[in-house]
Amino acid sequence: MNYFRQLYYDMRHQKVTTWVSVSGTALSIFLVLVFFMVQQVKIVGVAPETNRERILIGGSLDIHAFKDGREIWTQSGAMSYKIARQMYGNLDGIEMVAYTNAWIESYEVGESANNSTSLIGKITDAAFWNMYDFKFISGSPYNEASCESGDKKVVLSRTAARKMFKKEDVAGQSVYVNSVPYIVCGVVDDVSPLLKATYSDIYLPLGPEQREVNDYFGDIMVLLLMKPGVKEQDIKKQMEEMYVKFNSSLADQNLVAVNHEGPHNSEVFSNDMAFSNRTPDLSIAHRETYILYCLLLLLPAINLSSMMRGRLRSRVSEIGVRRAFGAKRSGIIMQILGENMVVSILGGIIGLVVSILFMLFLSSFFFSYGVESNSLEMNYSNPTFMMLFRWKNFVIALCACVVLNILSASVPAWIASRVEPALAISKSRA
Amino acid sequence: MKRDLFRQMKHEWIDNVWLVVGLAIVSLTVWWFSIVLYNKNEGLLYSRGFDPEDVYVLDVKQIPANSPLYADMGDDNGEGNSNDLRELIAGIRSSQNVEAAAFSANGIPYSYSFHGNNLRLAGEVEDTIGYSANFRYVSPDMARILRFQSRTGKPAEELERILRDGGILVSNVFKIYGNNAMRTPEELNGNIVEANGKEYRVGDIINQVRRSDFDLSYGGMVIFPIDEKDVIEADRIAVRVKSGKGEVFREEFENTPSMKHQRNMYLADLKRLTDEGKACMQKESTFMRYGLLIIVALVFVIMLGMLGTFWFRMQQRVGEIAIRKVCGATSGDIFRRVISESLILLLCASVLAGIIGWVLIKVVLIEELNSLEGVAIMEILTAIVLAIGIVLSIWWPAKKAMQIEPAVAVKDE
Repeated sequence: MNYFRQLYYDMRHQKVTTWVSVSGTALSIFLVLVFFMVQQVKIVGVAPETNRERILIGGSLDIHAFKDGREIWTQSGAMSYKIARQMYGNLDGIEMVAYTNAWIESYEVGESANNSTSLIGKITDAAFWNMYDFKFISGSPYNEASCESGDKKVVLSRTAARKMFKKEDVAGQSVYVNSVPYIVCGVVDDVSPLLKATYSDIYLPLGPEQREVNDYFGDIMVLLLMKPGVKEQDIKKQMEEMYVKFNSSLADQNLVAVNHEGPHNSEVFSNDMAFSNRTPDLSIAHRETYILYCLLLLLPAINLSSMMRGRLRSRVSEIGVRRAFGAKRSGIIMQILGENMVVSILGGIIGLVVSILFMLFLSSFFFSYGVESNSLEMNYSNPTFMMLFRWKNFVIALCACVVLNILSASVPAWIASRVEPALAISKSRA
Repeated sequence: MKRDLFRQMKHEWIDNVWLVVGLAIVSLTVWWFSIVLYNKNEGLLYSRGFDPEDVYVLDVKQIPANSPLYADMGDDNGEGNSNDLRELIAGIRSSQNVEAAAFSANGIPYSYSFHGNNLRLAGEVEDTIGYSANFRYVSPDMARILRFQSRTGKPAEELERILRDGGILVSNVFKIYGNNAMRTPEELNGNIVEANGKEYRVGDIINQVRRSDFDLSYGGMVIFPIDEKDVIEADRIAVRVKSGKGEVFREEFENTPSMKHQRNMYLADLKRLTDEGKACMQKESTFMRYGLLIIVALVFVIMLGMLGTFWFRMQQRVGEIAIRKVCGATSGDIFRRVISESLILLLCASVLAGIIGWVLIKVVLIEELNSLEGVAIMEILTAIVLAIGIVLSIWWPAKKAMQIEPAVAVKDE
């Protein structure tokens, strides 16, 4: 208790340095948390992508043609539905497979053909609705029979429904999509554009025209929900074997399909690294992130440390007296670290609160939503509170405070603990 | 005085070494980030090759055959659709709010299409060096709408005439793919070249119509003309509205069905080109904001550190400052002394950071850099920014030191 009282008096007496220490710590924790949250938003499981950590995405094919041992052409891009089913449709350890179009397209949607709005559309099969937990405000999704038979059904987002009909309960209403009449079978709650696998304004059934493409390439992307406990590497290993089989079927045409270590996880996909002709390398991005975290903790620590040295110098006589009365060096060090920990935690709490507020209201400046977000009022929408607010953040903030505390106070505390009592007291009298 | 200051700094060498190390690490980090930012955003320093202001874009769409609105024209479907699209474009061109309208296939800026090939001088065999470029196809009036920038001083109207006469425009080149040798646009200008199995005359060299304001495109770009008779190839329309008439045109377009829709052809998704650009460049602009946030935060951190450290120093030196004042030093002398001390520390830190930084650049970054000049400029800028930050942060402790009253300060001594 005495420690806290002493710390309180010390902080009141040294207002400027207290302010500087707390704000320096808060800034450091703020930055670490902001960067952590930006990364977290890309992989966090939040509705409708609650199972995000179990979902893998297979999106492309890279084929090289050879003649007389020389490469003559290459083609890479999204797969056709048939190839996607052949490659990804029967893998072990997969709970569910869904197929969607690989890239988002703009559709003209309106109550009548002559009064339409450009909306972002996603084509999906029926399994897509089971894989993700969309919240239906009205109606229900289309089923597989509707997809296969080419039924003209459509699911709208809440904002799209409101924009077109001025209300949300519009299941059963008719709507024109690219001048073709459709029936609205359901309305779902809006999805953040940061959830790239599920974000859209309208959802259309994957019909026969996409399913019957007779080519290696097409516009299909595969979503795989792994069974609980199955590892990404297990699936990748099966894909290697699948590529060997696929390549043997291509051999007579002198074609080789290159496996770019797909399917990819949400982190690769969210970082736009799922290229069709390159193997994504997250290790560089991870290394850069770790270096950034280190710098964001190390630099404030160096500054706080030099301030700490000055602060302890003014307490040299007090430390001398404590030592003269039998205080151990370890006790002095622990006391200084403990006092500094209080300042660090105070700064940490401020940093945590400010970082969450910052991300809620200003984070749109630090996210890239992609070209497709240029639709309705979705552009520059911020992540939701549930995407940002994780208990993990508290743990990260606490760990950052401890690291910052140890980095900034341990050396000055160690120097202070080595003060010779007689010398310290005589110096203070001189 | 100077020797005196150095001696004093020497006496506090442990604290000063600590500060110099801190400053050097901050300096190195800020410098490093600024190099990365400069390298990624160098494109902002150059012309984007076109003027997107007052330009709107539209998608060309066709009603599918399974729509009840589809008008079946039998054998004349192709020609009918072409005529309808021409009519739609003519409707836009006739608007009082519009300066010009053009159509394109893959030719609107901010397109990330890499469609292209090598241009070779006519008659040259395949293995000879060509001009590697992305191909863009536009109707001739696009030169006027996007205000293509001739590198030989020709006005946009002259570039339009070149395209109308069947000529092509080649662009300057910022960077070349890998180590491939490539013909310069100057070598091609005025000559007959081969592309897509046809021969074209290179009419002029223009500033590259870049994919984004940040991107220094690798390779070149060629603008090919599309004739009015091939209008059906168009996927997008570009419209230059009269200055300040953008919103009036948008309203007119939304309320004039004949401007939007002719039988099976319709125009949709009217957007300002500047908005499309912003959406396309989100990733780059986000990265730039990240970098700037880090730099500002690091400078602020070092400012806080210097403020705290010098605040303590000034408190410890109250007696010393009082004696200096008694001995005739003015408040200005005290202020300058404090500021000089911090700037000497920064100088030491900058030299240290400079040596380490250049070694790191030679070892790690050299392959990725656009130019070493940028690195040197960023080093100087970093030192200036840190110097300003340090002076600002020390201003208050230094001012407090100036205000010390000698008699009050030494009364406890």
